[in-house]
Amino acid sequence: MAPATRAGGTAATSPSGDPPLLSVRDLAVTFRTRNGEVPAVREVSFDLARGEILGLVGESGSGKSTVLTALTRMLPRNAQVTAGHIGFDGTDLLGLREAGMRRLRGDRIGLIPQRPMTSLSPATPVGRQLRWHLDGLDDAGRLRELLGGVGLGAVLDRLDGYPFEFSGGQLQRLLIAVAALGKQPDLLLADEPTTTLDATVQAQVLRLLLELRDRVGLAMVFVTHDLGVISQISDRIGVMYAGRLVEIAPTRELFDAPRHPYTQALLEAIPGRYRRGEPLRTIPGTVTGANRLAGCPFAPRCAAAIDLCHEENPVTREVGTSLVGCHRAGEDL
Amino acid sequence: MLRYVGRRVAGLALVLIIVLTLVFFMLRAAPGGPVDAYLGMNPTPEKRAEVEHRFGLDQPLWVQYAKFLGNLASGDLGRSLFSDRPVSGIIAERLPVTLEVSLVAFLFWVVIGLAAGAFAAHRRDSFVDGFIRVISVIALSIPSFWLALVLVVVFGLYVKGVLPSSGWVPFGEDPWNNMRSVVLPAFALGLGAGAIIARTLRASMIETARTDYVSFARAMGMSERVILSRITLRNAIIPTATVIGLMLGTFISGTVLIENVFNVPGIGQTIVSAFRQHDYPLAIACTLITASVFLVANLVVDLLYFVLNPRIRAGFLNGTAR
Repeated sequence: MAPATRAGGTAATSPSGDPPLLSVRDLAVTFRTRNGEVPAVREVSFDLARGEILGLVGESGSGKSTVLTALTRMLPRNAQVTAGHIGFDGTDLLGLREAGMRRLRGDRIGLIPQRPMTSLSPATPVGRQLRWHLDGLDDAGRLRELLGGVGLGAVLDRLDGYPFEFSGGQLQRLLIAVAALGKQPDLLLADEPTTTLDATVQAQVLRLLLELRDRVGLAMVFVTHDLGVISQISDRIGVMYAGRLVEIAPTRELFDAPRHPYTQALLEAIPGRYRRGEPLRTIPGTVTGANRLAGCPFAPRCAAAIDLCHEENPVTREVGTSLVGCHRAGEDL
Repeated sequence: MLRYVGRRVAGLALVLIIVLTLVFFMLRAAPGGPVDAYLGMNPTPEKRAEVEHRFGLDQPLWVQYAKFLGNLASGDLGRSLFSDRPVSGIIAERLPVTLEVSLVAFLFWVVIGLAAGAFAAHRRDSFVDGFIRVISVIALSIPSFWLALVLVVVFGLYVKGVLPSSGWVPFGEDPWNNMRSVVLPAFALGLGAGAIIARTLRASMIETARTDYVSFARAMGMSERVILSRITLRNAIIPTATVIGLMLGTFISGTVLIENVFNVPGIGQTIVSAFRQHDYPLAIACTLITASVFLVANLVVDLLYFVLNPRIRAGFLNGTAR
């Protein structure tokens, strides 16, 4: 089957019939390191509809953040997109010139960074930095509306302060006010936006993002390693392992009927599912070196692996409403 | 803020008094003395006693010291033992020369250093970047007096008539030739400082370019040029300003060598002859001047840091720093 049509199933495309806002096909990103080229992302394909939230989950190094960075074309100097296609609202992002890409950034593709505390310049007052990114803020009403929209009305008179004078939660909401509410992009990329925040603030920020989705209608790719967070916010979830998207399914589906052995193992490792005293389950082995394997990257750690799994990387298959990259998908494992 | 400056200035005065006291006693502890330097070989005891009396050296040391402090407090630096001119007059004549050379060196090399550093960081890993890095290492490795000697030889022997390799023309006499006579000393004086400034700015700009806040600005669609001017330079200048201040200190010791090689009649030249001849009042006055310049330069840098770095400023305003 041709790669471009492989992901054309129910779960990869949007729930509605409209053409997807974002369409990623067979994306591959390679890092040049001292030990040669390391494939960080391989054959990643998914679609995203307007107003939809896709969660990307995976452990550190699984390539989820690299996918996000590739979408903004802001990969580090030693990384390169080696294959694939990224369609955004009819534009081929990978074919754009840098100037064209820059015009999309912020205005049409927004980003909420992972570390709000360090994402504003420490040497310039916060208010002035807001004005760098947003026009029309000299109008006090607009500013009040913007900050009120993220529950930050109280800091309105502190905007001549510097970033270090604000808390992490305030800064993250401030960044959301700029990147989501102010710019109103079509697509918002969120790179673990809540991991550096404490639990109550985390919940506030998630609620805010969901609210914004409903109000502004933005589509979102939300990257995290926290299954609890992702279950609260996503319409669909993509599970990444060693640079591959091993399963993508609607949130309910994924939690109720995980198809990929890795997804199953991941869900079984959630502490909340166990009674006191019962040992927590973990996944044996490590992910180290998995992205160089010829066969399925999860095969060495997989209880259900057969000989074929070590030799050949599975093609993504449709099982119910899920897309699964597993040779034994659909079998009762 | 004002209290801070006041406290710092008081601190400076204390440091100055300590420095001058040390120099006062060290000069007198050093072998030889102004009388020998003044009278030459084998003077008669009567002549010796007469000169000692004239210089006030026949009094007990603590009396000399008390007189010195008293005069200093009333602003009287005394007279040179040798030329018998008021020391303040000599300083007033020599200091502008040193200041002119230093200022020209400072402005020229700060501009060159900042421009080269910013350019190298902007075109990181390009040929120009490599070129600037290699040149700056070479510039750092060259001792300024050696460079000065080479310049004297080159412009004195081989490339005649382009720039004067020695001597000094006062600005009031002939502005054009004054500017020409500044060029070589200023060049030699600041080369190393320029190289350090360039390297520091380059390193801190590259560091800044890797920060989250530059990534976020880029993700918001800000152009590279605007990122450079509003964010990268603004943050990278903070560590660079510290280095620039430290470089001012090297200028003070640098002028001693440079002025003697180029025969420039500034403080650096005066200080050498004053110490050699044990001209106590003149030597003390030169020390006072150079130490003051050094201390004031440091104070200015600290205050500049206060302006550039909002964290430090906030620390002062809310009282967490004192």
